[in-house]
Amino acid sequence: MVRAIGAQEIAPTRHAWAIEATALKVKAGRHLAVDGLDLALGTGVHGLLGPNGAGKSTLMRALATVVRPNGGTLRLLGTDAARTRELRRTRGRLGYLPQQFGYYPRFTVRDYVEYMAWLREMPASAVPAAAQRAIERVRLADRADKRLKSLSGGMLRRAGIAQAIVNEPDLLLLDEPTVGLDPEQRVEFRELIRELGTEACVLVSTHLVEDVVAACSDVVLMDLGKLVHQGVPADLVRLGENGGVGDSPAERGYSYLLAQHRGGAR
Amino acid sequence: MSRFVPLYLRSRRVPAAVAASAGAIAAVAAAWAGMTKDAQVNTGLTVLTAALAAVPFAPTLAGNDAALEKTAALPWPPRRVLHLVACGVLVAGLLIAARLVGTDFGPEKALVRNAAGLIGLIGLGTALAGARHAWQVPLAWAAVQCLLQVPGGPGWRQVALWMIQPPENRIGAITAGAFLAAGVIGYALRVGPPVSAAEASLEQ
Amino acid sequence: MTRPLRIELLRSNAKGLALLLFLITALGVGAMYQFWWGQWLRFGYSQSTYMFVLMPLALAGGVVLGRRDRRTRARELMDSTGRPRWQRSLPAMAALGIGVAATHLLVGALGAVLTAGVVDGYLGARGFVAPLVDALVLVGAGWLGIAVGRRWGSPLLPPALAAATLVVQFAVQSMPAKSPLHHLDLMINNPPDAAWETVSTTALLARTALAAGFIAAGLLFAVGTSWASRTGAFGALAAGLAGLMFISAPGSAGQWQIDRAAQALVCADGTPQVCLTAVHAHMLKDVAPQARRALAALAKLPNAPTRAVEVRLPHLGRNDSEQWQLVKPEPGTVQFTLEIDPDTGKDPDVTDSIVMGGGTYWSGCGAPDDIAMSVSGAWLLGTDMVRMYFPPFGYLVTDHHEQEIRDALAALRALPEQEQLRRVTALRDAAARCEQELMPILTGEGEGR
Repeated sequence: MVRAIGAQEIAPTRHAWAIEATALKVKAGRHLAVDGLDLALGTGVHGLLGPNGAGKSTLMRALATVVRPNGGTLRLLGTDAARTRELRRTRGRLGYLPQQFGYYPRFTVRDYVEYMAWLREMPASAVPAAAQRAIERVRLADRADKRLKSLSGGMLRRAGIAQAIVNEPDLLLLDEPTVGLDPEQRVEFRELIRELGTEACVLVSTHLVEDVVAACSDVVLMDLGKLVHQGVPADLVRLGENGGVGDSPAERGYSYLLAQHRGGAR
Repeated sequence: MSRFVPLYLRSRRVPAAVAASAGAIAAVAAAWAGMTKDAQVNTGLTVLTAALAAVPFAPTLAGNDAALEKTAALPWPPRRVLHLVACGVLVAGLLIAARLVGTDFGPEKALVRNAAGLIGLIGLGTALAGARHAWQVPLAWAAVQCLLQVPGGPGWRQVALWMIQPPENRIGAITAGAFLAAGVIGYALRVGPPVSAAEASLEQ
Repeated sequence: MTRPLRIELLRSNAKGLALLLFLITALGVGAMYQFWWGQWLRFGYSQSTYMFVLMPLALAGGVVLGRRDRRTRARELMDSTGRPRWQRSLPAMAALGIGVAATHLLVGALGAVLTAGVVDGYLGARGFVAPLVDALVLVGAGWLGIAVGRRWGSPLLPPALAAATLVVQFAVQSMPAKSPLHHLDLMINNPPDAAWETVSTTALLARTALAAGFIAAGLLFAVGTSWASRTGAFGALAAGLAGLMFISAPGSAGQWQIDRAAQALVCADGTPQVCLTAVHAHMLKDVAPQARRALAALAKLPNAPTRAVEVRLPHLGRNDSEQWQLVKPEPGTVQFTLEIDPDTGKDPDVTDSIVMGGGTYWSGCGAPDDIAMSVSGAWLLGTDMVRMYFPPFGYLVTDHHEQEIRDALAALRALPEQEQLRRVTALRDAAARCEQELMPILTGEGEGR
């Protein structure tokens, strides 16, 4: 596939980390859901784990520039997220799949992906090919011209992933992308994000510890708006030997870390 | 049962619809009283006020998740019939009650006929196209009748202009009755075209 | 921009709204076809008067589209993208605008095709301006609706807003005609009386002001987020409504003006000369032979007229049947009006009406003695009755006075031929002098006075 390359694509990156947060505070309504988080993530696939209410989705929303931080600093691809005016270019290099992702039911898969590509300010000539490629990558090519309202839950998720990767983002945020996918599709999905993670920073928020162990190069665990642990998935497995509840070593490691953190906090 | 009713009404946003309907009639009645000395409102305005009072009930005819409601053990059709008929009674009642504050929307017969026909059309529209679209045909039809305000003429013309016929007109009354019957039966059997699982999670 | 626009045109409610508007206009205007068939300017009136229902529906359609982001929770995803807010709004707004405007213009074009293509009727350039302005009003209403739907998301809003807009228009109809509020009604309550009347410049300007107000308010409100733009939006809406209220002038004079090109005379080939106004010129082929038959019958009298022309009102029609009889003919000319039978589209009484009173029925004297005129007309044609058509009442005079006319005609024909000719000529000359007592001239009762 041949396409024109824009100047901004070959410009060298001037940032060390794709995501760089210091003492980050983000509110969800009145409640401070992210409370003093320090995080630095670069290229690779990062799994974001944590119990319900840990502030994962609020963090994802802040990283996606949907909500503005209420305190601390947040730099995305080298741009300060508080400076809304400068964010426009950054947003074009961002891919986002919200937890409850919205879509227009009467759009077809292709319409939806192309529309989102336009919203992410891709050059018009590149849109059709990029949309087709994104749809193929999530294996929805046979459904590309079906309306979204006719899709099953799993197919809808995959359409959501397709729109998130259509612009080949440098920063890809996926909030619970594997909900509704069958085991086979989840395996395919892991392959896909591993492939994407070679060139981009991919942050996957999930409850499925196995997904993180299988697909992520890095794991971030948060609870009550704070960072609990950052390391490699093997750490989880190793920590699981110390105890904790769960059916697999990684799950035991996850619950052990949480218990340690909560114990420490008390 | 007594606990079910308020929950049901809230789930269908009925309080807002009642407020909108009653508020609209009150506003028209007040404006009429302020503008003219005539107690009797003209036919066109009466017809449109009936439509204005009826359309807010269209969105109440479907809940947020049709699939979820289908799974309920309670039989829905009688409840739906009751809901639709109650809307009609309310519209007609409010229009008649306006007389108490000095604004006359015309003879009861005509008010009841128009309210019944409009609610029937809304019910039929909900059955065929879904609650979100059910208001369009009755409202547009009422508006066009107000423009072509000539009662009488050949039978088809009286059917087409059923709302502006004199109160004793049989064809107008039969037309409205037919709409009410069709609306009640249609709405009892079906609430709009089937909604796919993907769409059911979206707001009405 | 073209791709998202294409997607919105195909997938948003623009298509459905366009279809709804088309059906309402087509059915509504279709129901009035007897009024406008062959008359482009009257078709324009029929289409324009339906704006009172099209505008609220366009507004409600806009609200439905505006609610879409909220209904589908698509806002969050959209907010993470780089497109500025105003650009994000454009495809949906453009699609809705194109949908409603194209529908309205399409109906106008259909009217033009039916008029010029089917019956070869008159088309004036001015007749195209009104649908264009109305289309802009619809676009503005749709955009304003989108803005409202974005801001307030209740499912009650589309039907309630549409119904309320309709009710307001009907309520202001009951206001005195001079009140500016009266002009908020987009329904045209005084149809054009004469076929050559077209929408006045004042009315066009007033609607243009409304369109501009709607469009500006919709754009500012849908696209801007700041307080300034919101205040501006309300200001624009208020200015648009004020424009509609205060530019419009009351009554027929505010709504209509004479289209000179439509009123110009067009004459049939050949002699004697028969001329109709341009709006009726397509009927010349049918009218000319009948008018010539009448002129030939009139030639039995001395100093007979040699041309027949349609009456042209120098002022706006006043919905008064006598106004047509107050226009003085030129010397040597007999005047007549066309009374078109809605069922056939033809004038059934051209010959009979011209010979009435020896060609003096429309002689600028006001309403004449129908019975004496009928008798003299039948005498001239050599028939036992003339039938004049008065829509929508039919053959009014003959229906009520048939026996009287027959008796007077029989009495006249019983006289010596010279006397018959003398009495009819005397009647014609008296009628041309605007004398009221005509029957005595025919019966001879007036002699010797």
